[in-house]
Amino acid sequence: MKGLLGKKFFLMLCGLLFTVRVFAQSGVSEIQIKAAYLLKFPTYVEWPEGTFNAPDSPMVVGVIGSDAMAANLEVIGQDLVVNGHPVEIKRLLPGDTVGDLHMLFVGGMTSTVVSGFLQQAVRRPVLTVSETTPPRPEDSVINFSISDNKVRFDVAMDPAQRMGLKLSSRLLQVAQVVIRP
Amino acid sequence: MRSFRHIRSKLLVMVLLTMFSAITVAGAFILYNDLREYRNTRINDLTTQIGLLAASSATALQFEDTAVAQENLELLRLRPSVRAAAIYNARGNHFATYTREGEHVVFPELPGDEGIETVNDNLVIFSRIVADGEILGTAYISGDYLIWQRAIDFIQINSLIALTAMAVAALVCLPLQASITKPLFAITDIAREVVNSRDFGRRVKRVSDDEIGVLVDAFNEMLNEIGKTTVALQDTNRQLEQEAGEHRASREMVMKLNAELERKVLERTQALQVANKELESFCYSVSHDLRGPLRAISGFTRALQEDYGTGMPDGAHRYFDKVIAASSRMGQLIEDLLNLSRVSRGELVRQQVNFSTMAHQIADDLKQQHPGYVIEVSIWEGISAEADQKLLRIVLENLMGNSWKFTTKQSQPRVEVGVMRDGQREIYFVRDNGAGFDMKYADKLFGAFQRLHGAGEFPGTGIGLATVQRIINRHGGRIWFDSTPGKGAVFYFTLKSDLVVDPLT
Repeated sequence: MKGLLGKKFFLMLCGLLFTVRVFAQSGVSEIQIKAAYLLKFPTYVEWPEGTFNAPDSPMVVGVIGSDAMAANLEVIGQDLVVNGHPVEIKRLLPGDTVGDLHMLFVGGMTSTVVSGFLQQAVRRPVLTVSETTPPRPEDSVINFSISDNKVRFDVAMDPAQRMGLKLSSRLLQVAQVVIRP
Repeated sequence: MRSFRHIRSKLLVMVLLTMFSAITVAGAFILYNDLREYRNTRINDLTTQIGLLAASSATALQFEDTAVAQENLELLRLRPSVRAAAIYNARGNHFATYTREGEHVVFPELPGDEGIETVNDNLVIFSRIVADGEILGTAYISGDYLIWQRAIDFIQINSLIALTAMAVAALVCLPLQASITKPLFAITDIAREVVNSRDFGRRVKRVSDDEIGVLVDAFNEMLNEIGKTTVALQDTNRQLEQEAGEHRASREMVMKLNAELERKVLERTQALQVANKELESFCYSVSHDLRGPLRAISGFTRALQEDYGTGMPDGAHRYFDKVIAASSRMGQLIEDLLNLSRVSRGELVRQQVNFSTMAHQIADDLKQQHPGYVIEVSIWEGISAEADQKLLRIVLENLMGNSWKFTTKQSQPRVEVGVMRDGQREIYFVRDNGAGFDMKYADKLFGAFQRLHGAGEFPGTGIGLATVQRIINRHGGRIWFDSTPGKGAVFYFTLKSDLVVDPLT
């Protein structure tokens, strides 16, 4: 046990150090940027009719697999309104269901729990965002990646289409890779 | 001729200047409008441009995608009037830039405030890029704003238009002028001819029905009048010349006669002077020569009386007395005549004489000569005169002596000697309250040997006053008198010429 914890811990530390080194110049951490971007994505996405109960009903953003991300989102998302919908951050636990989420962020690398969530999400109109390498174009619409020391993202059209989500061309413009069906 | 057809050039200049002003004014308005339009167009264009730029760059800024931003800017290559553009991020750093081909642009370090500015030949706009209330960055665009060039181009074209228009106007004007100038020149030509030839018979032909036509009629009328007046004037002139000639002739004659007269007068005067001189000499020598025999008569008569008088009857003595008295009188007469002559000949020595003192002396002498004769003598003090002393003495002796003589019949004889001042001149006087004389015979008074009173009434030779007058005249003065019979007489005289020469004239 001790050895495993130590290895994981060591890896996380390395990852953190890595991210700290990468973004030291700009003074902003990778997580912060991703969080900021995350809350910008909904502006460029159109959910199918009826997804929102009312024009001002909350937009629920679910987070699993990254407490740091959740924490950042809570900070940025406080009092944030996107297209008239106030943003609500929901931390998910392994036992939860996707339920009434509008957006889902799965942090970290792939794990069975994460996969389960993603598969669930794909059956409903949920904007899925991941940060895996390689990207998972079958169930994750947007996938963060690091390129040239910058946070970039790929967009997969297929899952969005299946879910009935319409993506703005402007988003596609700034995406590093657009994976078409 | 000096300024050939001056009026024509005036008309031409008038037309050209009018055209020029009109075109310039019109041009100015058009230019103003055009430049305003241009400005608005450029501003609108660039504003639109930067708006599009801002909108399209929002996403790129949000996701820090400089490549996309740069791509957007590159599209500006399609709009050659855009010189440069840039996107600044939220922190104010350059995010993406675009520069027109061949240009070198230095972008502002930091984005400026939102707004439009003209910098040299460029229009520069800054615009904030905002999304969802968040400032993502600033857009910057710089486009051509060649307003001065445009203005200059326009002015050049306008000048060309003006010149062309003026040239055309001049061409059009030249023949049209004639409608004004031709009738005008008709008048001026005739006017010049009339002035040169003095022929008022010329008339101007009326060719137009406007104000010049009126002028032509008036001019002709005027010539008519002048013609008539000239004829009248010429007649009058001829008459006047004639009269002037006559006057000249008579004036010449008058002058000739004058000269004649002057000559004659001169001759006569000279003759008279000569005669006078001879007469005086004669008078003098005769008087002088008469003294001798007279002395003999009186002397021997006296001797006769003294030596042989004892045995003679009284009647004889009476006769002797009468002879002596008569010869004495004659002696006096001769003396007076001699005096008169002397007075005319001697030199006049004018000096300051104490008039009052002299009068006193003479009064004393007279009193001595007439002892016991009571007469009141009043002599003004402090009188002085500028005269010949000897001659003045004779004057006073005569006048005062007369006063003594003619007051003997009065109860209170009085004589007064004084002076009156009349302006610049002094008038001396001798006044008495004696017998006086009738002014009717006044002109005889100064004639020699003229006596207004018989020898029985008052003694005297009658020469005294003639002498006095001669003396006064020699001094350049005047003597006159006033008298009432029984009331006395007063003699006035001056010792200087009345003609006072005013030093200022």
